[in-house]
Amino acid sequence: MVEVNVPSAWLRGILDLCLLALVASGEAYGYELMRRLEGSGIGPVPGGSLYPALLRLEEQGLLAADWRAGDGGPGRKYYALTPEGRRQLDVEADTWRHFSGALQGLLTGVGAGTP
Amino acid sequence: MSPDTWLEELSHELTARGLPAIDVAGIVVELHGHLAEAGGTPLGTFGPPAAYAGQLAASLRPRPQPRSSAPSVAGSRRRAGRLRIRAEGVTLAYRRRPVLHGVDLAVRAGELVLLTGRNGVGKSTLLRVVAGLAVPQRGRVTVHGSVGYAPQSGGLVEHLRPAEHFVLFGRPRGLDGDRARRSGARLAEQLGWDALAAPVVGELSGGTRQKLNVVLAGLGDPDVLLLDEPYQGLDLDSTRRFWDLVWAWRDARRAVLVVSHARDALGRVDQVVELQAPVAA
Amino acid sequence: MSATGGRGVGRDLGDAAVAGRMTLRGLLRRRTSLALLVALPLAFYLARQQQVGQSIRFLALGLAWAVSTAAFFAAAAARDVERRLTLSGWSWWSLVAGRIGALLALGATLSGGYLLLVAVDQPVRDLGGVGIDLATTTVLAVLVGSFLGVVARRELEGALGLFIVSGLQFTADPPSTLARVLPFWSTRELGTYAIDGPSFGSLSDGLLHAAATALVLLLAVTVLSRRALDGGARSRASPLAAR
Repeated sequence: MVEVNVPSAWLRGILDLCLLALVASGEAYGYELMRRLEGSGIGPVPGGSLYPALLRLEEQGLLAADWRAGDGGPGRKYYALTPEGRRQLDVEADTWRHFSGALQGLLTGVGAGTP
Repeated sequence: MSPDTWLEELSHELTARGLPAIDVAGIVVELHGHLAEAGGTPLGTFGPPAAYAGQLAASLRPRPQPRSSAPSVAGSRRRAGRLRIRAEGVTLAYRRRPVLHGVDLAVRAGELVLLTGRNGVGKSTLLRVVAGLAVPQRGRVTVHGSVGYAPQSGGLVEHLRPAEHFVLFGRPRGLDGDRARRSGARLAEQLGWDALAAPVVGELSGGTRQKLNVVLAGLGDPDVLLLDEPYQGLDLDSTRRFWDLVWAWRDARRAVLVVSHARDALGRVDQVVELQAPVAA
Repeated sequence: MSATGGRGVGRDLGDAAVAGRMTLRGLLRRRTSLALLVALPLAFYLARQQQVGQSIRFLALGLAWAVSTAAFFAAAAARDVERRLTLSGWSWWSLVAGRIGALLALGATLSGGYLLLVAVDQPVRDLGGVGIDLATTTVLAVLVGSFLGVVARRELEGALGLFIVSGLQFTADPPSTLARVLPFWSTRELGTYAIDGPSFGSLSDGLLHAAATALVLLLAVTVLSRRALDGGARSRASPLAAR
């Protein structure tokens, strides 16, 4: 996999969308989401940005949280998509595709790995 | 800085920013688990506790809403927040007579829900189940956060004055003596009632008792408010004040569940749940 | 959920003090009832004032009846609000302990007053014994009343229960098994010890019976109060108690 340095400003902008998409593919708790995010190629997200984002999404009613017994320790907080969250995800995914398509067009012929 | 010290400082900072205790506890447990699994130092992962607490608190603060005294009309849907009450499949029979049968209910932070239906259909019973006063034979109820409950009648001490009730009810919310009295008096003022000058409960009118019950429910700013027929005996002015208070609670991101059979309530809430009587088999 | 509700023992003791203060305030406001409560043992005493032994015995039983009645009605009046307070976060035991503590204080004041009356009005051979008699009677009466308060659903049932307990104690023949089984047997025994002397009444028997009765009643009150107040019917979603 090519090592890319994703500017943190980009990550901040799309973190909410990424989290919604990750949770859509399966409920998860905070640290698990962080691992999935790193594994997805988007890039390492600082633990500091993760929890404010999750709290914000929960407060907005896009994610629902459920405490489950952890193995031997206190519970883990699992996040799942709410119907509003699903709708938000769909809308933003479409917006993103439109946006990235436009950006792609702008960047044709630019850069080292020209498609 | 050790994780425990860092988490303790974070806890203080969050509390100082006015976060409800249950949210603070949840955040601490979640971050503690993260540090345990991810490793690394708290300072390296999250930064200084004060700054991080600021970030977290900002996430929990809703974006400023336009203040209005009318409830959200269909079309300008105010986004409700995290789930505060969830009831699933609640079934309850009283002396072999079915009262509630598989009732589901969900109320979110910042939502005002009206629980209505004909007399005897089980509205008060459902509220009591949510409050924890009645045990359903089947089903599950989960409440996130502190609860303030105002019964339809009773739950008061005949020979104590309202101010003394404030002391009793304020205590578990961290309000001691004078602060409890002042908080109660302030709330009562919003309902147009001078609580500190009032005589013992036994000498109060029915309507004033209901105001007292509403004040006691709201004392200490609980996350969830459960009000059973709260304005039945109130005059027009008091009724208007009552709704102003309830809307203020809703705007402050409390979850409010009101039981009422009154028709005028229908247009004043975000969501209406109507209980139906069980169909005779 | 821990018995203290996680607020710490020190806090709970403070809570009990507040609950006790409020119970006393409520009771002391009921002037008429209070007057009758004070008058009842006095009336019983005056009915037999001429006889040293009987006057004290009647006083003690009158005290038992009055204090247990006060305890019962205090419990009945508090039932609804105590349930509501536990929902708000009060621990069940600080409410009950506070209420019982207040009643003990009230009863102790009453017995103290009556002890003084007996001291000046009667030629008693053992004033200390009378003091012990009244003290144990007070404690037992508070527990009997509190027990009936948590057991009887309605006030009439409780009042009748009080009648039965006190009435039987009066009428049952002292040496009979029935009398021994009743809660205030020790009141009679200790009274006999104080009035007629150790050859007629056994101090140890009296104290033992009182202690055993008190223990049984205290256990019953504790168990039943906890069941009535600490219902906790709904699951509180908490990160510290994840299911």
